[in-house]
Amino acid sequence: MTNKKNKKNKNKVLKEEKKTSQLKEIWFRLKKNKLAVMGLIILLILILIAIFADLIVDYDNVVVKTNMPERLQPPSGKHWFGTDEFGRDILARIIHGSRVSLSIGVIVVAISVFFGCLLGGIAGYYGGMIDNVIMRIADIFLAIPAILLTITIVAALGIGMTNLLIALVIANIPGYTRLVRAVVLSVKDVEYVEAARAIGLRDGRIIFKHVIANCMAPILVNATMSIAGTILSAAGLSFIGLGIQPPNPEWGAMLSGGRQFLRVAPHMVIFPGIFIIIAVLMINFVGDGLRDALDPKLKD
Amino acid sequence: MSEKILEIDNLTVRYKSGNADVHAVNGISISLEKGKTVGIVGETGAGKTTTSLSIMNLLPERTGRIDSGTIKFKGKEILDMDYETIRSIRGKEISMIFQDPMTSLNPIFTVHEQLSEAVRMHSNLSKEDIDTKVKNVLNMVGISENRMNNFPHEFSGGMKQRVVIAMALINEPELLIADEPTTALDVTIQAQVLDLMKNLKRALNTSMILITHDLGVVSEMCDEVAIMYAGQIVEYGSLRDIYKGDKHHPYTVGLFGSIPNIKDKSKRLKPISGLLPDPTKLPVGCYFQDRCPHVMDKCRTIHPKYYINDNHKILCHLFEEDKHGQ
Repeated sequence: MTNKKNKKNKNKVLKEEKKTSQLKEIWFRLKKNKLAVMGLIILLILILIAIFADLIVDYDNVVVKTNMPERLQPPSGKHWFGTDEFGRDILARIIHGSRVSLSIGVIVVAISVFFGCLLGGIAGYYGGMIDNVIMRIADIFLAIPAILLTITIVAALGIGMTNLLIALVIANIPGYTRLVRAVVLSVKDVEYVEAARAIGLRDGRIIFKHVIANCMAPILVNATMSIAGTILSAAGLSFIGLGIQPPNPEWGAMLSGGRQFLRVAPHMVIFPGIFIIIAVLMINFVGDGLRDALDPKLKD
Repeated sequence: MSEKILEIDNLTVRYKSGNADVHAVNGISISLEKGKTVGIVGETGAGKTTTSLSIMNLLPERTGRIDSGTIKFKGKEILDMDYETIRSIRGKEISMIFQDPMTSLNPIFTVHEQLSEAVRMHSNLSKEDIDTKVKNVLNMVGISENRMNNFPHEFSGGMKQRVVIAMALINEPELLIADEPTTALDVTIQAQVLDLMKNLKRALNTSMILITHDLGVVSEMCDEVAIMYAGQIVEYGSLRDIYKGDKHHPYTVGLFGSIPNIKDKSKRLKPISGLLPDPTKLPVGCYFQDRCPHVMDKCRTIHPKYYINDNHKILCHLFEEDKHGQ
């Protein structure tokens, strides 16, 4: 009796292992890439800082409240990264700024990947007229430099966080549509897609469950990389005054604010800049690592 | 006596390829009774797969076109059905086994997920019911149920083909289309898979269309045989007519001449020379004229009509003198 039970349990354990084996293997390969692991760890730290920013520093009293007596101080024991022209602690502002920067990156990419999959999936799977219409519209958007496009959209919609997001999403969608369509084209004529049609699945289910799921690797890698690009774009837009508005902290906006004091207080520009670089670089390391880990040809 | 499950009448399918039209299927007629198996034999490019895709209405939308003909499934015209109706038939009443088991399973879902999806599409069964159904069908094809959470790449080729068969049979279809189900498998597994299909067919009383170019498989499985050449059925008859009968289309004779015979002492096979005619410009007259050893003058000008003897039909001028039918 107990023997039988043991056997059953063993079977269960075996099954669990099998089910996760694919993810495990990817993780195993990712782990071997030292840069990617470093990127992942530092990103995790940044994300944790962003999540618990409120516990680390008080937003209303430290981050946005002016403190004129301590303005433009260089880095010291009290203010590790110095203070800005209103005497606000730069470290505190960077900590809270990470919230804005990281979440813009993730939100924009998530939304644009979603729409990219939708449009690219439809265009690639059905082909013909629908494909032509969707892709030509995407081409029109791609013909305009992304930064100009976002500036135009923000200028038209008005300045603000939501409009910034909308502009970045619109600028990102055509690229994803193109990417997803290309991978869908390479997958849609495989026999299991035909088999899925033969068992009577609806088109929508075939596209989004069977086709897109098989295209996930390149999409995932691309998405990771473009989180970095989006953070840069958002910072750039804030820098020219079209993004996050003072007194709210955002890395790009902080750079912009420090510009006038470059000679007297270079720390105002250096530290936010360093954080932008770190975030972007680490995300790119992780993306690189993911690409290698998801590519079965590099298996060893 | 028994009802007709499938009637194909004068089916013509063309593919658009650049400027030329590819005449893939040129007026074929097949009828199939419940519980029977018909084998469609022919070389690559003869239109076998196109015929089977037409039955499911799965021809590539923009290139394939059905020009004329009717396909009746249980008396209802398939070609007139709207998307939702045909979709509800696919996989439930008609299902298909594809050529290559290696690629006809989705690599990123487990076998269980794929099988249960096939059930879920066509019924409102509870999770537990679907589960038992999946387990039953896997037992039926001889795969242990504790492997159902494995991914396709964890199975061997023969087992994958069993899974594909299980997927085709899980809704107990009335018509099964097997498109070269054993071509990608080695001989020992072939025998197992054929045995399995035979038993399942008997157990579920499924009708079957078996597409193959292996005459050995046909003799093992089929009740009736259609020999296809260049999109036409050049000979149609019962298994006995084709294998034992005294009158044959020259192409059928050639096909049998291409199989090694263990009793025959001759050193060489007698293959049919030449290739299929170009399907974009089929010749006037008989399509087999250029390869036929008995070619006559009228073969080059007049398209032959069927010689009909009971259920045995031959599309050739050779037998026209003693024709019984039209």
